[in-house]
Amino acid sequence: MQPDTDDIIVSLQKQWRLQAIVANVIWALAATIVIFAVANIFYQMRIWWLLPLLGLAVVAIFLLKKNWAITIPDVLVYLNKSLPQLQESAALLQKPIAELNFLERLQLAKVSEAMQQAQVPRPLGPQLLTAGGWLLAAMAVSLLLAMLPTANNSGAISTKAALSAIFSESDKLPAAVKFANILVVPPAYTGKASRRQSNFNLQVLQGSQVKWTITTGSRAAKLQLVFNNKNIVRFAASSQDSTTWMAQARVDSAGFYKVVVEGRTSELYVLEVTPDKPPMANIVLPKSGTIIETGRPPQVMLTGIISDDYGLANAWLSATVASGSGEGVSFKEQKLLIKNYNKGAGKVAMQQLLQLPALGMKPGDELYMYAQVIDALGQKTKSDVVVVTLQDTAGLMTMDGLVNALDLKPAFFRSQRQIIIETEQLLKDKGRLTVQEYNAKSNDLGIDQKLLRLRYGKFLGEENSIEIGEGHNEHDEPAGHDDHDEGPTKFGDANAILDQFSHKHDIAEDATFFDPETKKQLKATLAEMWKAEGRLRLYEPAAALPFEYKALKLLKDLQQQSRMYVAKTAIKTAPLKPNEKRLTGELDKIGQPLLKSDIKPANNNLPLRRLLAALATTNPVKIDAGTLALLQQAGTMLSQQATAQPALYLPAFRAYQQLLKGAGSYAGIKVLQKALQQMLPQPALQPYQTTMPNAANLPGLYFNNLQKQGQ
Amino acid sequence: MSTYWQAGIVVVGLLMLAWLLWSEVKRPNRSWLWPRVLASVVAVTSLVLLAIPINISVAKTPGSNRQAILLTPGYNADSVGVFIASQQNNPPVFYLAGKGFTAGVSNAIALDGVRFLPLDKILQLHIFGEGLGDTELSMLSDLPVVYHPGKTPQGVQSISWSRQLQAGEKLTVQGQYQNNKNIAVKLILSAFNTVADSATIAPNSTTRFHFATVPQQQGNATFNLVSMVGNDTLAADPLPVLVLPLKPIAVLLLSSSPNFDTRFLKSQLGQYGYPVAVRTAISKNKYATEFINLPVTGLQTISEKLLNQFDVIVADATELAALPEKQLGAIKNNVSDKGLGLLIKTDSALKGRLFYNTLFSLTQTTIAAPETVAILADSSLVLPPLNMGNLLLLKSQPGVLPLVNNSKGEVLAGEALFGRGKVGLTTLPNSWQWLLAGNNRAYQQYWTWLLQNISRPTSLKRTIWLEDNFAMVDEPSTIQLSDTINGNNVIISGNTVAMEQHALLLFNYSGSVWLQKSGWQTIGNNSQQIAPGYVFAKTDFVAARSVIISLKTSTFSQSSKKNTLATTAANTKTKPLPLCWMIGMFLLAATFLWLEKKFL
Repeated sequence: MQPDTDDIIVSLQKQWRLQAIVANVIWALAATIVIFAVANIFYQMRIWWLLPLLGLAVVAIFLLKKNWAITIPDVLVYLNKSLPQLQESAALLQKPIAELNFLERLQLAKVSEAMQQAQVPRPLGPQLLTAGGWLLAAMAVSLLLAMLPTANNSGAISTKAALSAIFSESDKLPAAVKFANILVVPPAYTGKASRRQSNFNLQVLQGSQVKWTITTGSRAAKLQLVFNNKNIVRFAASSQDSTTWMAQARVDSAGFYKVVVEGRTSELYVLEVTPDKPPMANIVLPKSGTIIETGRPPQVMLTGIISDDYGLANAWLSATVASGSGEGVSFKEQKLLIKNYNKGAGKVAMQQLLQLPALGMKPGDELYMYAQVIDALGQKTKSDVVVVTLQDTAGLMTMDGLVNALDLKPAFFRSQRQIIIETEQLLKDKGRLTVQEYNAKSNDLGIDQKLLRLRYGKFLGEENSIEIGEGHNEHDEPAGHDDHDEGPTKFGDANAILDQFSHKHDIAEDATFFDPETKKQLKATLAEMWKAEGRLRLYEPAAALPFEYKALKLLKDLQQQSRMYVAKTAIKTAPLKPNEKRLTGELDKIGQPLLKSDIKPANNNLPLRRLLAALATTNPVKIDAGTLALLQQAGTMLSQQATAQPALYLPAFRAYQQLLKGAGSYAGIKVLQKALQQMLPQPALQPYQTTMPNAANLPGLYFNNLQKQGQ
Repeated sequence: MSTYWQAGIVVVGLLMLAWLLWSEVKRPNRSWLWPRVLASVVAVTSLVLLAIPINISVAKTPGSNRQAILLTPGYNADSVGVFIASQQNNPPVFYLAGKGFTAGVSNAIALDGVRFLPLDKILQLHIFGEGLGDTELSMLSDLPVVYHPGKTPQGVQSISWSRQLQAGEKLTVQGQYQNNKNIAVKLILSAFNTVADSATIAPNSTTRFHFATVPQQQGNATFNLVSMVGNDTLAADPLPVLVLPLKPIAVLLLSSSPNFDTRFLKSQLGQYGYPVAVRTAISKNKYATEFINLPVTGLQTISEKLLNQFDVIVADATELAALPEKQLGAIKNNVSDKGLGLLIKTDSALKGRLFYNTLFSLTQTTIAAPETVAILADSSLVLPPLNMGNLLLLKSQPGVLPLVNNSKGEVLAGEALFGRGKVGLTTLPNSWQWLLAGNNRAYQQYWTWLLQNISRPTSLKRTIWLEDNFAMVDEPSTIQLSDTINGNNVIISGNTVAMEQHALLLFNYSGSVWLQKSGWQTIGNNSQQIAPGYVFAKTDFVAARSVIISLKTSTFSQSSKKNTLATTAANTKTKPLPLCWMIGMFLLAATFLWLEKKFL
């Protein structure tokens, strides 16, 4: 019996070990797939990178998880634990029979029988299942990652893609240079860390300090950097044996450069500069032209955003209050702090309540306000100016609209104004007057108001003291009639004057020639006056005041309306006699101008266009004279474009220089053609002379024969 | 000629026969008379027939009444199998070796060319696949052909593009693409490695495509039509385009008063170096004149000599009507006899009995539409809206070709032939507003279209071109030369081609050449290059060429059907009678006559 069970134990050990190994490999595979998928997003790895990755993962997992090191005792212990029928005697199955005593043999017989009947457990089954599950999950995740849109999916030429292509170029060191170390120190205010690189293609922030340290293979006499084929920066030897050199430059503008070692020039390297953008300031509220009406609290809520890419060095609100009018306007400028702003903040959302009286604003004043921001580089930006106006009721009282040359009859308008002034005076003097005096004055004012109302009533045909806008009674002369000599006519209103001197016995409404709108407004005015008079007569001048104001306002509006009218004037001129005089003038003194100009044809970039075509059939190492001449003419524009946009056009400029040297390649020609195609503007469309195929005047003969037949 | 000669021989033979018979009959010894007469006739007849060979028709060799199969690239093996099975006797199968394919049919015989087909043993030839080219078809002579086209290949089925442009003109490429794949194909017009235009061809479809771009180069260069599936390039076919430098036209502007239209047109043309002269009336017989890129000459009177310097006159109707009769006559003569262009601008109905008034008639628009879009009638080009207000319209009438329409299809500008020249008329008064609105391209398109159509054309001294649109490498290409001076030999890429003069059009010459290198070819006359031509490689536009070949083969088979009936009815062929028979008969007859005289 024993050998059988012994076999079972050994085979179990082998089986379990195998299962553990398989589970670990599946784990490693899952990990590898996920790592590869993630890395592929950033580095675009080749597929055969999977193998070394897998190897690494397997080793790591086997070191971490020791479940594969299953020994016979491990198996026995596990069997004892999981099969109670073995009665903790599994070890006997393994012992040689000779070494067993009698009891042990008995037990062995029992145990081996139990062993053969027992259901052998599978301790590693769950592990295998989980590993498989993780593998499936890993595959799903990596598939999802692979389906993520990549940056350069579009066929369009993106500067970003071009840049990344250049900066990921394998490091091409200039000839004779053994080792290079380039230190890029961005401006301190950006807070970016300095970095070292050995690739000569640079992508730096504007204003960075760049320090090149170059070790040459042998002693060199002279090293220099040439920027944009113009500016030269010399290297200084920093070691005794003249093999280590250093140079430093501040980079402010994009372009390209090359390294010259003892007269030998390197290829051109890109110098891409990321500029510091100017700060931004934007006031969202209040809207420009905000008017704060009387009665509203004199305050505005200011909201807006100020920001900068490397932090704001300074920011404030500039508030200018303009007060007064005409020639007496005075300005007062104040700097206000922005509440949320802290020095160096990148982006601030402004939100603060401005109390206008605190700024010294009175009714009628205007506030001009903008936000001013300055970044660390000293670039300034102003936001748009917002204007806030505090409305002025006092404007109604001014004589502005009246005191001008056109308005000749302001007298009767003064009356309403006068009543208001006197009412206000009465209210002021209330303390000093006795009740009788006060009431008498109020009553007097009421009488004045009535007189005024009657005066205006006449324009509506009213001749009655109690009605408003009702039909008139011709024999009931109102008191106000005595004041006719004041000439209560509106300027230019001929009808009003006519009405004054004629009694018309028809409907009062139609007796005037006002349009219905004017009549309506005039009626409203009279109604206000009526109400004011009522309050005054009740000795309540304070209550009368609003009605007086309203009446004045309506009167002023009426006045503005009647301004539109312009009287006609008639002029008589002598009749024209065109047939007698026309075209009989003497023209001998009239000169005949003659202009002559020769315009050089507009620059249509003809040499570049011809070069573009010629390159199609050019052999890069054997350039014919015509193409060479075209190449030489193209130099200026190519170099300009390469300086302006090195990321796009520097490769083309490099290829161009190689071609000129006679060391070009077909790939270089393609790059150059592509750049030319992109940088050239679309040619202008112009009419041209059409051509007829040469046919020895055949159409001419045909035409002449036709003519002859026709005759 | 030959018939006279033959008749002579017959006459001589008859005379000779008459004399012989006369002497035989008159002979005193009348023995063997009839045999002698017969021998004489035979001798003379055989002599005559020696000089005039006769044809006899013979029945064709039995067993040649057979069908044969010729496989060409793109054939469908299944349909060949079906065809063979339908024939009683197994037809022989041939295929052309060297066409880059192997026959998938058993017992196929490889041939080095069509000329090796045993034509006399074949009664009807069945061609499978894309078919044969012109040269090969001509080798089949009148053999009846049945054509079984294969499946249309993937790729560009047909294509056309403007091969020769003037600077600034748009290159238009249109054609049809067949996609046999289950995946979309991206078609790209590539200009110097940049994408100029592109289209997507849906899976399993035949789609028309239309590309447009303005070429940047000056001279000859190739664009590429690239078809791609994902990142795989299926094909990149070259589109050769030649951009010619502009030939400026000389313009004379006559204006009745200073106006924007004249001013803008003058500066627009002048800034590109065009010769422009402007005459603006400022008072009665007083003119302001301006010369741009031209020497100063007198513009007071318009003379024939002055007009010879210009290609087109742009004039106000008012100014033209105010010209003295003699000067207007000079313009009329120059237009009708020398092809000068005259463009009239008018804002009111044409008055007076002037030579151009009869060509056009105008109507006033009833609807003063504020914004209308002008369309160039020919190239269906829509320009941005222009404020037109009250406007005159050209009535469409025979003899007037509309040039510019508004969006309702009403004609704003047109042209009419007048003698050898053209007279144009436009009623659009404010095209300069395009310039002010920044639509320079629209303004240029409008005036380019008008001036180009009307101006005096030049006659080329010499033109050379390759006749075939798809001139192929290693195939014969025809060169056409039109030259009034001399039709000397033409040199194309170093090969001298002898030119043959056209029998009737003496200034036309043509020649044939086999070019061995694809790409641009310099074509010249007397070592002076005139125009470049393009020769395509065997790998270019494979599908399109296959479609052309297939069409040609199909046409050939249609026309050869007539032959089928004729030859099968008379299953015979003609053959000259062998001369030895004649000699033998003559000798026999002569020997008999001699023997009879000597011994009998």
